[in-house]
Amino acid sequence: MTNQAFGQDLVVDSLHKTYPGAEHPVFAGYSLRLPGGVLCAVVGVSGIGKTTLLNCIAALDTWDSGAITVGGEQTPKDNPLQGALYRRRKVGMAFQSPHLLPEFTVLENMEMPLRIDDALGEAESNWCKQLLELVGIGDLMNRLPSQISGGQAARVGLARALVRRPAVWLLDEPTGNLDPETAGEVFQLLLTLHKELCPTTLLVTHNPTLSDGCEMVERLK
Amino acid sequence: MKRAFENFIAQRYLKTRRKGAFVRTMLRFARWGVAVGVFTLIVSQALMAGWREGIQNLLFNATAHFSIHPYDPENWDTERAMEIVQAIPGVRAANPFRMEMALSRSARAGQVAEPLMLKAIDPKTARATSSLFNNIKPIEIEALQHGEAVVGRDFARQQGLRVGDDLQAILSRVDLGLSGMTPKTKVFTVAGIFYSRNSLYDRGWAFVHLDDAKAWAQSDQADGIEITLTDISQVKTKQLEIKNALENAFTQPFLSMDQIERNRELFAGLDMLKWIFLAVLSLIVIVNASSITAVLVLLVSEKRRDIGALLALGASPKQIQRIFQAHGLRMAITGTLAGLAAALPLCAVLDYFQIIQTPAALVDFLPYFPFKLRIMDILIAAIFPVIVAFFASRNPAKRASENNPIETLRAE
Repeated sequence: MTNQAFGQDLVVDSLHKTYPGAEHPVFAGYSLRLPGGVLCAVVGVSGIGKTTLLNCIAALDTWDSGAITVGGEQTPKDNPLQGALYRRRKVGMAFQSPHLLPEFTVLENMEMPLRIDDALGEAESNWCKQLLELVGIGDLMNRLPSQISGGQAARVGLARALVRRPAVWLLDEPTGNLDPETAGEVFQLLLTLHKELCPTTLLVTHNPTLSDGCEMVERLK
Repeated sequence: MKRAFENFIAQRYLKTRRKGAFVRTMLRFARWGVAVGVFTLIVSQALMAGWREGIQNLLFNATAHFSIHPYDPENWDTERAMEIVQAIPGVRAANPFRMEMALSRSARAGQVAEPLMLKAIDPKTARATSSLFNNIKPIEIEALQHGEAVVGRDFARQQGLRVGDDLQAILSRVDLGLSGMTPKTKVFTVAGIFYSRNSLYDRGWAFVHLDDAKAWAQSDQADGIEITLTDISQVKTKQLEIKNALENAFTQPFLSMDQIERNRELFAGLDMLKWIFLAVLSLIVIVNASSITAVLVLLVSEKRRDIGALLALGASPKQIQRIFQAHGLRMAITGTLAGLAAALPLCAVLDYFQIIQTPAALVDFLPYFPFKLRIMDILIAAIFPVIVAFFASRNPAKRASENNPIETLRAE
């Protein structure tokens, strides 16, 4: 595996989006330009559109007009299949809840993005194990999600999003469900992973301590 | 096409022991439903096939596989025809015969006359055409003499006939005498009694010497030749081959008929019964396999969170659809395999050890319930539930693929 896809430029250009039936648009000509490999916190009050921005960048959500490009490649819109293929190439996502699949072990959960691609080989499996070692839970790889703590599950969620070496790493309040101490540990881990692997990272957070630790802060209004 | 990911997920969903009692019960119900449906289908089809084969064997063993007759029996040479028939490969035995319907009764007891089919045969060649001749007491069929008859067990009992008694037969022929036309009558000595397990023969047939029949018919020829083959499955092709050979030799048309044609109504009835069973039991399989839909709807609802996560990780909607489709198919396949695993050995054991005996009234006909497994019946029973499951799982699987990951992930 190569690191060539890591940390590509992210450009959001004049994004317009209004939810059906809503009076006000979520985005009215919103633009954002992030150089490859930067760690950017996205902050703002609840309902301002932080998660929507991440979903649009991940091609999970659609928008009315404007364009999003990652490494020069346009993010597909309104095309579930193209969206899925684009996510495989470009995007790694982690959520407030780690969304680990309960029937599968920690390692199998880590390998899931590669299985989706039918691209799991020995080298890839070793890479998953390395990532688990990196987030400090290499010894728990054969456990089921129900057998690990919330903090450990959050680490798996973060690491899983990096398995395919994505161009953009989209983190939607990954520490939101954790106690302050564990949240701090996870954030430190996040910084370590970012430093090691350098994906272009968008971190949605309400925690000013976390946003202060990022290289850039994007405040949505 | 590689479907490793979809199969990996579907297999784990199927194997995992769930905490939710309702989904678990439904899952078991669906699999057992398919298994029971397949089991019933196999057993009933094996039983139907067994009965059909039993009846067929009874008919084919009691008489030759088929017979062939010239349209004009006075205008052919039986001996030459026998040579032609016996020279054809695959013919195991051939025997010339004449048939005559007669009203018959015991001369000694003064019984009421009953219709009796007098089959005149050549005792030298008859044995190889029918297993019936193996069950004659006390003589062997080769010992049958002019003026003698071998009657069926049921007819003998009905008429109080014993070996050595006289049998009076009024033939369906007339003699022109001084007092005008009178029915031709013959008296035979009962030389033996046969038992074929088929009441049609045991009550209604008697065997006499071919020369006797030639004499009363004032003919040197037989009516036809009955033929037994080495391979019964070749009846149709050999029938045609022999018919063509004789037609070429004697320049007249020949009529050929096998036992299945002679008993067309019986076999048509058996075949229809088999299809009715198949249709009714297929409905059961459809109902049971359709419960897979209910299970998948529940499972999709339970797995919304996983579906959202997989979509976010890059799974395509088609892949999600295939996961649940594969899950439905796996349920059907495991259920089908369980049904086959129970039904196949059971049928084999029941048939081999003849475990289920028939009621007393049927013992002579078929002594036990036969279970004959046929590849085609097994294939139908194995493939049908899987096809039903494929269609049953399409809709819930499609619904799963239409899950909106944003809503699912937000709900958390």
